[in-house]
Amino acid sequence: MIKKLVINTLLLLTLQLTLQARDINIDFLVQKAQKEHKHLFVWLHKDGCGYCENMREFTLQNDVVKAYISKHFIYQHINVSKGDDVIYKGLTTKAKKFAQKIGYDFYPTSLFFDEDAEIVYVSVGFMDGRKLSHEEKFYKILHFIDSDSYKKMDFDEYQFETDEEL
Amino acid sequence: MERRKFLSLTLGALALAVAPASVRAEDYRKLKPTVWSAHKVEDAIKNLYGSTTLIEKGVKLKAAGESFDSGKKAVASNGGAVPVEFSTKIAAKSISVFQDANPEAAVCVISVGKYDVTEYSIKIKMGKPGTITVVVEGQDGKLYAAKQALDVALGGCEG
Amino acid sequence: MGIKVKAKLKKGVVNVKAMAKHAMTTYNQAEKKTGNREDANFITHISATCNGETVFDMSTSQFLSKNPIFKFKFKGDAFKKGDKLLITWTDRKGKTGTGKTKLK
Repeated sequence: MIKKLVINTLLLLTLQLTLQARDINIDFLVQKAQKEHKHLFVWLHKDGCGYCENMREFTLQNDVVKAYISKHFIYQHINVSKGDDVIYKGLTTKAKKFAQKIGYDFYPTSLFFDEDAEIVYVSVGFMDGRKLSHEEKFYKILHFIDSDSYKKMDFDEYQFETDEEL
Repeated sequence: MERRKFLSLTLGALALAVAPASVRAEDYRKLKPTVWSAHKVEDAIKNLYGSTTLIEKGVKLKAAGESFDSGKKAVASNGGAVPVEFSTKIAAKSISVFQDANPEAAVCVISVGKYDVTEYSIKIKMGKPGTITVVVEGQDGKLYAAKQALDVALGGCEG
Repeated sequence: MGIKVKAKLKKGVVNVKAMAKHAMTTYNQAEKKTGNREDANFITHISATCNGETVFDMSTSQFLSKNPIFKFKFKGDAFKKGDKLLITWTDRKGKTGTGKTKLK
């Protein structure tokens, strides 16, 4: 019993350590997503940001949203406060520099990539899952990407076409 | 002036006054250009209707999902496309929308026709926090209105 | 095609939603982009007719959103499913855009 506990604790610690010092390879994740017929969704956040914590708790962990994400996306969060390296289009940069480079140094921010590792949609800022309008909008963004609609139209048009309320 | 002529003139003027609105749909941009250049909401309303006396009754207004009578300030997360819904049951000649968060106050003026069901929804730009005012020009010549304060704030933290 | 439009006749009322395709650049935006305020261009008037009858008429400013979406309703007693709805916008430079649909 105690042996099991010790082994499990050691395993957890090892996992924790390996998680802390890692590379986030977006190129690899894009390929993985393509193989699994999914899209890559990268969520940028930082420490000490209440909006990030709330979005994680109330939007990303929302039952409906969470289920949809796990079914249709490869999800990767990037905490820019950590010193992780991000590999994107062959170049390695620190997470914070990566965010600045792509022009979104504001948190939280949701990035969606296509099979060529191009960012096809960005949702900047906090989406509050406790508000029905935000939850619906976020869900709509996920659908917009997953249905490949981004290849044919922009998000405004997609919202117009799919808005059931006439 | 000859009596006959005078009478026909008067009748003519009367006929014009009661012509159904759908026949006389106004292009307010051409008709009242000073409405569109007015910086203050009050001035825009005055230029349009000749009065600033507003009765705050009978008009429903919802901005960024918040109803004007909820007592709460509405918060829009996208200042480029703020949803504004407004309606009234008052018999109206025109309905206009103003705001005080942009260089000019007038957003739009609807010429109400005989088929109109006076319930509308638009999306507007709000450069910064402000107040949206919807004015209904009643068939009775009075002006009815509703106002909704709006904050424009994208939740998040700078890097 | 300047406007996407959908119209539904339900319980004696026709519900319409439309999305005009227009950059709606404001005077300030034009000044920032080209240095010339007169390059600003936005829709100044939108009207809709059903079977030739005016059912919507709005004069507008630079403060409607880019690719503005708007909804309106009109009394359906005089109309029926299949009737043609035509919407037209005119912008500051005199250009026009149209959209049409049949009442569903």
